[in-house]
Formats: sequence, C-alpha cells, structure tokens
Amino acid sequence: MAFTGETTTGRLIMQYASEHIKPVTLELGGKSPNIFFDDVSGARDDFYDKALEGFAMFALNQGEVCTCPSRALIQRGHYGDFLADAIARTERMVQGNPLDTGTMVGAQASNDQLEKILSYLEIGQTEGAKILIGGERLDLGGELSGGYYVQPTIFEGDNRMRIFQEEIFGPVVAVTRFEDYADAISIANDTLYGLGAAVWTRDGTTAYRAGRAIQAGRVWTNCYHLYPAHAAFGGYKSSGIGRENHKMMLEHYQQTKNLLVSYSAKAMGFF
Amino acid sequence: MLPGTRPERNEPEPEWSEPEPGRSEPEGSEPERSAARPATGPARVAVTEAAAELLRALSAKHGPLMFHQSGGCCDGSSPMCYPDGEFRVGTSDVLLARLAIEGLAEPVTFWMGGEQFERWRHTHLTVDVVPGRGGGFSLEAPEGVRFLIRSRLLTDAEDAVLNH
Repeated sequence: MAFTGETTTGRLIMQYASEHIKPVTLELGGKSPNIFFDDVSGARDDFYDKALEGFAMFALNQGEVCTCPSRALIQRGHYGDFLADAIARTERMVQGNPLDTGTMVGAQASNDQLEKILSYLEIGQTEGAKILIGGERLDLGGELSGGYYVQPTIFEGDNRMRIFQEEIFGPVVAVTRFEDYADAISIANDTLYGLGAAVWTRDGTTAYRAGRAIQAGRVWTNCYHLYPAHAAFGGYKSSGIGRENHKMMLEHYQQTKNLLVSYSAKAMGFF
Repeated sequence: MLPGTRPERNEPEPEWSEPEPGRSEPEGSEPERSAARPATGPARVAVTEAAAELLRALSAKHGPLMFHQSGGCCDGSSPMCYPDGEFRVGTSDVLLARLAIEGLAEPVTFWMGGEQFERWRHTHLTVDVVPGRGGGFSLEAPEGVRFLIRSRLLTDAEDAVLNH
C-alpha cells in the first residue's frame, strides 16, 4: 500500500496493513528548510535573481505541496538585504482566477484548509512571530468574492514556534536567521520531518556538505521544486517510508526470489 | 512566550499503560502516559459547543469516540476522530485530555504523538468544527464538516500547573 497524506492516517494505514502483513510506503509531508548562505548575495546577477525566486517558491500551488519550502533560513551577513528583496518579490505575486494564465497564486483547495491556515496565522502572531507581509485572508471581489484566497505571508520568528514546526499547507513561510554552517544544519534538522530541503550558495563545497548533512530525502541544490522522472523522492523521520518516482520504487511491489538449482546428480554424501 | 529550552525526552511524563483488550480501562484508572489533569484544574484541550454537538451526533452512530491529533501534509495538523480504540495508541502517544461532553456517557480521549506534543505543549487547543471535506478517515468527513484545532498560548498559571 502506498499512501500520501499525514501522520495519523499514515499510522492508521500501517496498522491496518499489519493485520494482513502487507508492506506500506508512506509520504507524510514535511517542513522543508530553504537555506540561503551569505555568498548568495555576492553579486546582483542571474543567480541572485534565481535565489529570490527560490525563496518565493513557498507560494507555488498556494503552498499546498508536501515539499513546500515553508522555512527559510537566511545567514546573518545578508539577512536584512536578502529578506527585503524577498519581500519585494513576494509583493509582486499576482493572485486571481486560477484559470487566468497571469495568475501566480490561486485559491486554497477547501474551506477547512483555509480555516486551518488562518488559525496558524493567529497562533504565529500570539507566539510572537512578526508578519513581514500578508497575514490575512484576501477577498478579490466580483465573481471571486468569497473564494478561499490567502495573502502570501512571510513570518519572522524562531524555529521553536509552531509555525516553524508544522506543515501549514498554505502560502506561508517562516523565516529565521542563522550564524554559520553548523547553525544552519542544526536549525534545518530541528524538525520532526525530513522530506525536502534546499541549499543556496555559490560555494560547491558548502553545497555538497550541506546536502549530505541535512536529514531529508530530497535536497535541492541551487534550485527548488524540480521533479524530474527517476529522481528518488521520499522522506526521513516522520515524513515517511520508502522512495517513489525512481526505479527503486518498483522494489516495494516486487518479491525477491531465490531459485537454488543443483547441477549435480550425486547425493551430497552426508547420509 | 516560547517554550524555552526543550524538555528532555525522559522528563517525568505521567505514564501510560498498555490498554486492556478492547481498551476497556478499569474504572477510575488513568492511563499512565497522560498529560491530562483533573477536571477541576486547567485543561490542555477544550471543545466548542458546535464541536460538542457534532460529537454527540457521531457518538450516536459510532459509539465512544477518540481524537488523535495529526501532523504533516495535506489534512495534517487536524484532529482525527475515530471510534474509540480504532486507532492504536502506544508508548509514543500522550493523552492530553479526557473530554467530558454533555450527553455522552464516555469521555472523548484526545491523543497526540509524543514528539509532536513536545512542540505543542506550550499551547492550549480548542476543538472546533468548520464546513469542509477532510481527506482522511475522520468520522465527520461524510457530514460535510471538519474538526479544526484553534490554538492559543497557555497562560503562565496554566503553564505552571500543566508543564511543571
């Protein structure tokens, strides 16, 4: 059985599967860190522009993606400038009818999803996180009035807050700063989940070391939200069991059989 | 207010005992791994009147009920409501509350995974209900409504009783 969803239902499915001794694979979401090292801001070039787009990926599909980069970790040296540019990028997001090709961010999938996101906007603020942009439901008026629209929202806070620890499944990113490489990895891994992650840096060694150190099944390096065929996909920790999309996925559905064949007509000679 | 330094895993948590077959606990016994407190003190979990009404309707159809708070993707971070005992709780789970619902003979238990609880324990939860369509097996889904958690920080007084 393969299940994509959340932890309680995942456990329930494992429980049912255990009654029949059936294997399961689970993909239960995450709280994916998007890490921006100081050297990203080493130049105002195409790469810098790409990194800002990478930050803004939290709003892709209204944030309703298991791998939503819902935590942004920005190094102290360029924190203020990079974040200001990221806010400006977020301001330019166009919300509207999802069938309009000019729309970047549409409506949430359901009313309960909308209500849940709004409840997180509330608890985030009561925990002391600061809203840098957005933070409210949006009414676009006209025929879209009453639609389940949420403003793309950037929170600034601390990784211990619930908005840093739970998958909100909306266009909401929680931002915090880090000092150095060790601090970045420590914050990135301080989560129950481990599905996606990203590292942004101009330094190949930093990129490689971080990719190895982050406990997540997919670490995008200087990119985000790419899903090519045959790239193994799945989670560490509470994000689940098993890998999909790669050929190894087939192993979850196959048996290994050992045919042990003797070519000898002679008895073994033991008895 | 932040939860401060995260408590050690071996922090003395009121314990939890293996449920009896069918989870019929002896009269008056508390599950051991419980973070619930007597009804007279502050509670971790409350229920709105609308949610209580729905619980009464669900209980009439399904009998005694339980909640397990989910985490993760999609319908995650929502409370899942099941017939009591349908979801197997174990040593990794914490009992946050036995919700006394007017009109129901049995309290509705409210559970959460222990690791998740460590990251939620500084907040007070209210079970509410909104129009919606859940994607899991939670019992209210066919009714076109969805249980929802609303949160606030525990007050210092509540925190002193519940977390220390």
